[in-house]
Amino acid sequence: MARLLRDFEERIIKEIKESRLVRGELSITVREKLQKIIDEFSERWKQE
Amino acid sequence: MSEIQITVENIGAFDTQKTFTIKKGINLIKAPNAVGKTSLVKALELAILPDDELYDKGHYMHLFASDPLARAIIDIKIKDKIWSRKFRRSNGGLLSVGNPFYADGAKASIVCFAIPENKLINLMLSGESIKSYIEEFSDSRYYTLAIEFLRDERERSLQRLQYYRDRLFLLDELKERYKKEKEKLAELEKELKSLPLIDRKTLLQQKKITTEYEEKYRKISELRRTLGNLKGQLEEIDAEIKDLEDRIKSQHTLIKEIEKQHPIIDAEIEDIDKQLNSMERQLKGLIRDQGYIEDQLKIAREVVVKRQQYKDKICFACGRPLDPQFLARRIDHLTSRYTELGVEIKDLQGKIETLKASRHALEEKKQRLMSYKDILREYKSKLQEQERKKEQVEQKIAKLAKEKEKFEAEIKKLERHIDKQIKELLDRRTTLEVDVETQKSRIKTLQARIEELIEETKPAEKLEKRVLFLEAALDYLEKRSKEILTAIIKRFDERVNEIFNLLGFKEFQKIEIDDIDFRVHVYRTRGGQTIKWPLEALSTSERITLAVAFLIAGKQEYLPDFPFFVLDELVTSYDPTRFERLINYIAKVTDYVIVTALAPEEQKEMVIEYVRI
Repeated sequence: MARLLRDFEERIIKEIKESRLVRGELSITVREKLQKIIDEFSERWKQE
Repeated sequence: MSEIQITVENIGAFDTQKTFTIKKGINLIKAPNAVGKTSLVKALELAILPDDELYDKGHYMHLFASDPLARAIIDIKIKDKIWSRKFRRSNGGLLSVGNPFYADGAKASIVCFAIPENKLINLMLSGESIKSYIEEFSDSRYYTLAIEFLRDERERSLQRLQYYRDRLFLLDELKERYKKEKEKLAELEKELKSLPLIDRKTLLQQKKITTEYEEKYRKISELRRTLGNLKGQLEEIDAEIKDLEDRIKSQHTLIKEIEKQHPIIDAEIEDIDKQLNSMERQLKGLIRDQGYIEDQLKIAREVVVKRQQYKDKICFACGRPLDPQFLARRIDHLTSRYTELGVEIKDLQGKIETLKASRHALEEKKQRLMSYKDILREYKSKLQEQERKKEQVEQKIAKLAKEKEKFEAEIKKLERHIDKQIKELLDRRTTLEVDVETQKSRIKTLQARIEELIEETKPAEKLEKRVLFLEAALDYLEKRSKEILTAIIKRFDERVNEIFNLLGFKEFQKIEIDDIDFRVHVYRTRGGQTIKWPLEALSTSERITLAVAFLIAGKQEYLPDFPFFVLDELVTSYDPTRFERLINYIAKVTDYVIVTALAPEEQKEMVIEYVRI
């Protein structure tokens, strides 16, 4: 579990870091990407 | 790496190509005003900034010719390798060709350029929280954005989950009923089985039942069974209709509740947007005013420097005789106006933040309202479907009932001849057969509804896990964000105190960043007691020294490989002796230290003096 959360942290922070913010906020495209990451990790969380 | 050549063209004061040699150690750039000291420093900053920052930072625009086709060039030559970047104006920003000279240029521009525009220096001069500075060059701000996003996602998932939870509750109820109806069916079948069989021959002989009676009896039994089946279906449809009507009612209540609080939610949001736009315009105006005051302050400080260093008697800006008392008063007045404007800006920023939060809450309510309305639409369409089914079943029942009536009348006539006991037995059997059929139909309908609900609620499990994961992830990221900030603060505290000790600056016992409000404070010993002092209680010189120490600490911790550190004369002029020690210290930890210094007007040209450590 702890490893999964660390992986999630790494992925989500990397995605935000590499994205261009719109007036200091996340764009719709980035939000969609982040939702996909959450779906992927929720699935893995379920399996573990 | 000992010498670096920087070539600039078409930037600020350099309208033709100029090359400067920067050597390892301290590079003292001396020139009178408007000869290009600032342009050179800014060119170096432009060389490292990433493209998006270039586009956003409008305040660099004045360094470029207004002709959109004019190109500006910065070349940096290290040994035999030349790095080059070209710039030109575009709508509202700058466009560049060529990569930044340094990969982490955005951070380097904040940390390694101790110039009057530096964010940290300004925050510390006004005694404000330095959280935004810490966040800017650490990953902490990405954590803040991630946490906000995860909270929104959790809220949205919980709303969707609520709908599924209702349906799951209904599913449990139906499963329970299914079990009971099955038990009831088993009882009916048992009773039917226990009835004695009636021999047809005996019946015909004993009760003189004709073939006609037998046929009619069979027909009417069939009709009764079909009717029983239809009635069973009708009962289930009625139950579904009642359930849907209850749901529609509760959905209406939820919608009404929000609509009562916010009758025209879109208009409310629009109104907030208008207020926000007006406040943002007001904020821009205040920032512009503050910038103007800052420029005035810069000129006034420059006049003080000139007066101290070159004994000028006349102000270079307005040509009037220099009066030290007037100058001190003017600087005081400008500083207090600058601080006042800072307070107004902060106040307005606070109001903007509050409004943004209200807008966010309204948007959330709007989303919720829309989702309630979607669910309501779904329920209504299901209700219509069930009502259609009900009508069809009722029509069938009505048709069959008429037929049944006709047969019953005919059978009644024939029944007069049948033995009473046999008749009762036959009636019981028929009733039981009908009940069994009704029960079977009821169970079949129930089963169909259960299967439908199981299919419908399939995403619930996934959603439930998603919420659980989001909660765990939120908890984890909040802890990590706090850890990161605490670790950064700790590293800064240690490094800054170490720098102060190494430099022999003894005025503070300890320097610390508050881990709650992120303001810097110091501890001083007065009358044998150690007292905590806020930044506002320190002199300008002390605050600038602290800010530069924080910049050095940032460079040592986060950008040890960045080869430059720039110090502007307006920063160093407050306490030349103290800053000489600081510069020498920086030169030990940085390859190229660039310090700008004002030279007398007679000098005309820019001169670089090299000081090797």
